[in-house]
Amino acid sequence: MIHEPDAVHALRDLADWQVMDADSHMIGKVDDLLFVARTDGDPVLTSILVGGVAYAKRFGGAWTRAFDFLSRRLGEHGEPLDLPVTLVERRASDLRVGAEREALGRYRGRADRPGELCLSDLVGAELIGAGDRPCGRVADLWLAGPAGSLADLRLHGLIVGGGAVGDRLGFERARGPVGPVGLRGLFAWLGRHTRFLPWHDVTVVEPRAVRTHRAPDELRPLSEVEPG
Amino acid sequence: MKKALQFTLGILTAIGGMIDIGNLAGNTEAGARFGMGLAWVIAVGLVAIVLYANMAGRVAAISHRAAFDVIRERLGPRVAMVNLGASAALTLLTLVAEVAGVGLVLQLATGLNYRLWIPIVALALWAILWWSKFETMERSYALVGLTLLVLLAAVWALHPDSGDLLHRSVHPAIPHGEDLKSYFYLAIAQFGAMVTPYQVLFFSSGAVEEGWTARDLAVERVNVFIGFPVGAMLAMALMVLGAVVLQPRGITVSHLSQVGLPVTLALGRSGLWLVLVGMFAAVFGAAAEATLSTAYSICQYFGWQWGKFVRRPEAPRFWSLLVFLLFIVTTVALIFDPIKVALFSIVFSAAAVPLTFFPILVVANDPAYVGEKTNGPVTNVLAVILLVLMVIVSLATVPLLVATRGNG
Repeated sequence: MIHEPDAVHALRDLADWQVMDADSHMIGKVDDLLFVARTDGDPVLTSILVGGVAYAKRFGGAWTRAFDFLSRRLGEHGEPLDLPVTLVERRASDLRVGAEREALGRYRGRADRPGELCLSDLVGAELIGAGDRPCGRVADLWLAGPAGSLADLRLHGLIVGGGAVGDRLGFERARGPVGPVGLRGLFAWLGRHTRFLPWHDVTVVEPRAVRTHRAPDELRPLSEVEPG
Repeated sequence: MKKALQFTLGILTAIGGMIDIGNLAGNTEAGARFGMGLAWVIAVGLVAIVLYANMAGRVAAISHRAAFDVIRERLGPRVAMVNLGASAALTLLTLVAEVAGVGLVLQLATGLNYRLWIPIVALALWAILWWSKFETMERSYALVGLTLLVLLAAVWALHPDSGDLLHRSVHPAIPHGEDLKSYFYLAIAQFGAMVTPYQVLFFSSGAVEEGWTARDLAVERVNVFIGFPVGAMLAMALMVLGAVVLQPRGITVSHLSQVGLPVTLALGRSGLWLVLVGMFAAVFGAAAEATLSTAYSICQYFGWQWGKFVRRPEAPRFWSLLVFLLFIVTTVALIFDPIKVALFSIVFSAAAVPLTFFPILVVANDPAYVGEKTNGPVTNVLAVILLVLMVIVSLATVPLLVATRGNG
C-alpha cells in the first residue's frame, strides 16, 4: 500500500461549504478555489471565491452565461468575494472568515494573479496522456497539507475518471459513511476505474484539458493510493 | 412548560405535511371509495417519513446543517439546483392549494366565496411570518391544530366495528364499480401527499432555528416519534370516517364540506366547529410551513443568511424571498383553479423526492456529519427499501395521473 499525505478532496471536503463572517452571519458558499502555481513544487491554495460569477462558473456553457447575467444584475455587480485562505478558519461544519461583514467589501472583486488555477477550470477537464491518449475526466482535486488548516494546502494531484461519484459522496473517505452496505458496494464497483495522477506528472494545463507525459495504464487506482 | 411544549415542532411539521388540504380531502375520499383498503398506505408512509425526518433532524442537531446545506455539499451546485427547482415548484404549487384551502375552510364557516379570502389569507400569513417568533408560531399552530383530535372523538362516538375495520385494512379489496387503476392512483397520491420533501426541509431547518445541538437528540426523537404518528393517526381517522359514514351511503368527496359531514353526524354542530378550527389551523400551518421551507431551501442553497433566529435586517434576502413567494402564490391562486394547479405539483416530486432523501441517507451514515450517531443496520435496510419505493412512486405518478386524468 502506498501512503500519500493526508488528503482533502476539494469537491468532497471543501467546495460548497457554508462560509460565515466573524459574527457568525452566513455570507455564502465556497463556490470556487484558487491556486497559484509554483516552480518548485505543487500549486498552493491561495483563496476561496464566494458568490457572483464564481458560482455561475461552476455550471459551464450556456448556464454559466445565464447565471452570470443574473448574478451581475441581482448581486454586487457579480463580483465574487476573493478571500485569502490566511483569513479563513476551517471549523467542524463551516468556514469562518476572520472579518466582519462591513470589512468584507475590500475583498470583493477577483485579484489577478500570474499562474493561477481554479477548481472550476480543472474539474471536468479532459486528461490527455502520452501519445494524445485520453485518460478520462478530472473528477476532483487531491489537496495535501497539515490537517485542519487551509493555509498550507497544496494541489497534490488529480482524481480522474467518471466513476468517482462514490468518492464525491464521501464513501471513499477514510472515515466515510459506514452504510448502507449495498450503496458502499455499488460505489466501490462504480469507482473501480478511478485513477490518481500526482501533480508533478502534469505537463500542461489548457482550457478544458490537462496533459501528462504518463500513459493511461500508468495511472494508479485511487483505492491503492488511498486506503478506503 | 417549556419542556412540555418541546414536541410542537414535530406536531406542526406532521400536521402541516399530513393533514394539509390535499390530505383532508384525499384521505376522506380514499375511505369513502375504498373503505379501509388504503389504510396500509398511511402506515407505510408514516414509517418512511419518521425514518427520514429522524435522520434529517439528527444531522441538523449534530452538524448544525439544515437539509439543503447537506444537499448542496453532497450533490454539488448543478444537481442540487435541479432539486431546488423541483422542490420549490412542488412546494409552491402545494402552497397555492393551501392558501385556497384556508379560503375554502373560511367559505364553509362564513359563506363568503373562497376567492375573496385568498388575498386576506396571504396577508395574514405574511403578517404572522413577519412578526411572530418561530417558537410562538409553531406552538400556536400545533396546539390549535390539535383540536383535530375531535376526529378521533367522532370515530369513537360512531362505535365502528374495530375488528371489521382491521380485517378490511389487512385484506384490501376493490369495491364494485371501482378499478385497479384508480386504486393505485389513490394509493400513490396518498403516499406522495404524506411523504413530501418539504416536511423534511422544514423539520431540519426548524431544528436549526431552535438551536438544537447533539444534547437535544432526545427532544429531536420525541418530536419525530410523537409528532408524525399523531399526524398519521388523524389521517387514519379521516379515512375511517369516510369508510364508516360516507361509503355505506355512496357519498364521494367532491367538496370540502363532505369532510366535516361524518363529524357533524357523530358529534353535532359543536363537533363541526371544532373540526373547522382544526382544519383552519392545520391548513394555515401547512401554508406557513411551505412558505418558510421554500425560502429556507433557496437561502441554504446559496449560503445566504436565513432564519427567524437572527434580526430581520441581517437576513434581507430571506425576508424579501418570503414576501416575493407569497405574492407569486396569491397571484397564481387568484388566476388559476387552485385544485387543478396542485394536481400538477406531484409531477415535480419525481425529481425532488430522490434528490432530497438520498443525500440525507448518505449523510446520516457519515461520521464526518453525525459522529458516532450513524444509522443502525435496521434503519439502513428500511431506509433503502423505502427510498426505492418512494422513487418508484414518484416516477409512477405521472403516467397514472395521465391514465386516470387526475380523477382516480
